[in-house]
Amino acid sequence: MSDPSVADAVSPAARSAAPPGIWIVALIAFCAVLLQITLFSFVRLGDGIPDIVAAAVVAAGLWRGPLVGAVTGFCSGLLVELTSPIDSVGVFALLYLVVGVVAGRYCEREESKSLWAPLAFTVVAALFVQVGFALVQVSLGKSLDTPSFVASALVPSLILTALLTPPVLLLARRVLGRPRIVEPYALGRA
Amino acid sequence: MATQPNTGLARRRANTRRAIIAGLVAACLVLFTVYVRESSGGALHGVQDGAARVAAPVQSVANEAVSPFGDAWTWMADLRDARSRAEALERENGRLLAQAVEGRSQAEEVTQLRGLAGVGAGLDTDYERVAGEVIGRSITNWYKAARLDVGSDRGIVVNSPVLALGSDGRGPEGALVGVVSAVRPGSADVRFVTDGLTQVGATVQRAGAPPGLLSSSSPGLLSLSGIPREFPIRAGQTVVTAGFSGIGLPSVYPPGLPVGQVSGVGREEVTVQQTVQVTPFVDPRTARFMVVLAPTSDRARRRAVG
Repeated sequence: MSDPSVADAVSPAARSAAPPGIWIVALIAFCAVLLQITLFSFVRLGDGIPDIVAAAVVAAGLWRGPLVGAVTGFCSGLLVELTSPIDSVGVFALLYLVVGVVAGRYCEREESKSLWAPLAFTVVAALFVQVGFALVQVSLGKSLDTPSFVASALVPSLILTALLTPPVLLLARRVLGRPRIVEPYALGRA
Repeated sequence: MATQPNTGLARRRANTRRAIIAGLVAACLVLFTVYVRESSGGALHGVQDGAARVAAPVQSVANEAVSPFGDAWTWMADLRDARSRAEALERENGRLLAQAVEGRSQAEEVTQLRGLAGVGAGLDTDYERVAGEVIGRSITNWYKAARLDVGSDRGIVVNSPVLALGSDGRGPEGALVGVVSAVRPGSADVRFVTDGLTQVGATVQRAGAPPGLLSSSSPGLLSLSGIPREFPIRAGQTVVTAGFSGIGLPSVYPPGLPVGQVSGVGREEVTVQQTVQVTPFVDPRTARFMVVLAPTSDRARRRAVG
């Protein structure tokens, strides 16, 4: 699971000076959304579906900072909501935006030498999105059978996400290169 | 992008970026609020419809490209319960053979009676069957829905019933899987019978019971409520659409469409009604193709209005 190229951690100042590669991030996010609404919505374990968009947003945040993570999350979530047959707009956009911002905060820290940290981050992000969306649906009046939701949808989703997203993270890390903070959100503390 | 910490420029940039993120959060909240409050013909629903119209051809092409991978996954998932399903199907086959003989003579009788009463066959005269391929599915378990590659240009309207194609051997051809919830040229969204929002006026064949209301219960299962206790219901009986909703109003589903099989009956001493558990003939999540009943007669169009 370790990635040799991940070992070259750099200082925040050096990250800021590097070119951003925003279009690559946009391309990765677009491909992730396209795969999510075509291939991955058919990949099911129980009622669980892998969350490849979470992996793309985490990658954008972890390796390009909070602003890129936020914009990537917002655009990806909105695109998913506009192109998938669901009655929702703004919810996934907000949830993925939060994922992008939080992941971006870790761009300022020393990068992990293995893929376990981004993978764990992706699974937690998928958990956050699932639970967040469930809470919104409950607040809109839908009933939630918690044991059934956890057993048939949540746990299978997280398992599939953990199994199927490492290639996305590896690919994103390879094409994006070293972490580079495009926007110094917390400059005063960096 | 290089900036030095604690300079005026750096602070301005940081504040600007915080403002952008705050603006995006506000945009999400506004979008969500407007979408929830507006009607299905509102501006945001229109934008969503337009995006779906643009995305449908892309989804169709992408779906073609990735369908071998999807098929491979479905095949692997099916292997898990193939043996138990084969045994169940074998038992089912014997029972159905006996029913088929009985059904054939009853069908002849029904045809004769229809001719005497001047009533049309319904499905064949009122609807055109439009076959469509599933090009997208809901990405969340909260909405059990799919998108088909056929739309309003083929005569499909909102509330058109959607049936299984029956080519995958999972259920009888013509079993109800859902209803069209949104339609546009080139694509239609189907809300499955197993979705929490879908309710179907249905009855148990040969039970003589009045129609009840079929709705989603536990994941993948349905529950038929409103059937009085005095009508005995047995496991294995077929549940079909009644043509009426539970309160006697016309239903968007024509009568006689098979939906599923009774898998259990709950009778409580304190209630006058029984709750019937129904297993759908077809798991809509696994169907690659579906048939939409596009109305061709005034009667069917009126039915679709509800």
